[in-house]
Amino acid sequence: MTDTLELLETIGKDASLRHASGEEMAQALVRLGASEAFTRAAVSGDSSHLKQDLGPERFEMLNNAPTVSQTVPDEEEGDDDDEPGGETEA
Amino acid sequence: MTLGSHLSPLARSHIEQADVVFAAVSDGIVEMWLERMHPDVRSLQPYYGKGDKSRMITYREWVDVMMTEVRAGRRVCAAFYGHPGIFAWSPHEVIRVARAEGYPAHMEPGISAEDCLYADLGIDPARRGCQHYEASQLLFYETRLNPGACLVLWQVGLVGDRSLKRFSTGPEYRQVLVDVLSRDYPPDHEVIIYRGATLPIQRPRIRRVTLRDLSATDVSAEETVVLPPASPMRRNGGIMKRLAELDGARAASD
Repeated sequence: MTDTLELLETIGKDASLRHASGEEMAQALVRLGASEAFTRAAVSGDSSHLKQDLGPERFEMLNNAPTVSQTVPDEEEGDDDDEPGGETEA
Repeated sequence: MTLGSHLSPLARSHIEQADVVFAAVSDGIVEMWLERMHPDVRSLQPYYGKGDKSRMITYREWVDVMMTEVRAGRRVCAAFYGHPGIFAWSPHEVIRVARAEGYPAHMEPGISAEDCLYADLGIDPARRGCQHYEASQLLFYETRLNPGACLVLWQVGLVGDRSLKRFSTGPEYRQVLVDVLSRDYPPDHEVIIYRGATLPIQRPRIRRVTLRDLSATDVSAEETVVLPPASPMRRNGGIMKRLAELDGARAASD
């Protein structure tokens, strides 16, 4: 069985796979030796099916991480004393 | 950026050749992918608090941990999702600090949500102009919008969070944003809620609602909101006349 990350990278860099239909993808994944769970994820576009292959604990830990943009409204340019970021509760 | 698709050969080479790699990426699976490229990948995600810590503290801590390794003489690479310089404070800051201390430092551009958005939504920012704002900035500061251009709002999912501790705010906060936008846009104006694909098995998520319905629509932190232009461009008659005079004078002198 081909490794999950390897499969994802293969799909990500292959022009014929990246935008393949569900049927085309399923056929390609058989050739690539993907697991059933991976095929379900790839055909449905639902990455939660990858949990089984990647390990539930690791998957949950990584995917519960915040995904905010890593910026804050600029504090330096404002002329207001009540700057965001200094509040204990909004 | 999408796993497997959007990492440039040069960025990959930097990751592979570094002594230590710090990572703040969009998806846990992307982090695992990064770990395949380097044996010492250190996630920056655990520095976030759980609603009890300002993100500004987190971002300063990121700069500190990266600089600790730089000062120890190690080659440091930090991988941030998308473009490291777009809507990301720490990459700019750590480069500034490193250079100020005499260390060479630079940024490699990447493919950001902004780039994916142009492709997936078919927007050319040059056609009507394009404004980008962190959504809270529109609430915190008086901002003159141009409704004749495209408007892209980042972090609408946590708009109005003054504490910088929360990772989402509710419909009442989005209603404040709707009220601010309603000064320049009609209530039935189209609002596009966009999320790019981070895994190559995903498709971009594109939802369309009206401005009046934005407050009642759940928007996650990773989604970006786009307002198409609401009014036509207006020809600047005075300047066009002036340019015509210049053209005429130039033609007469030829």
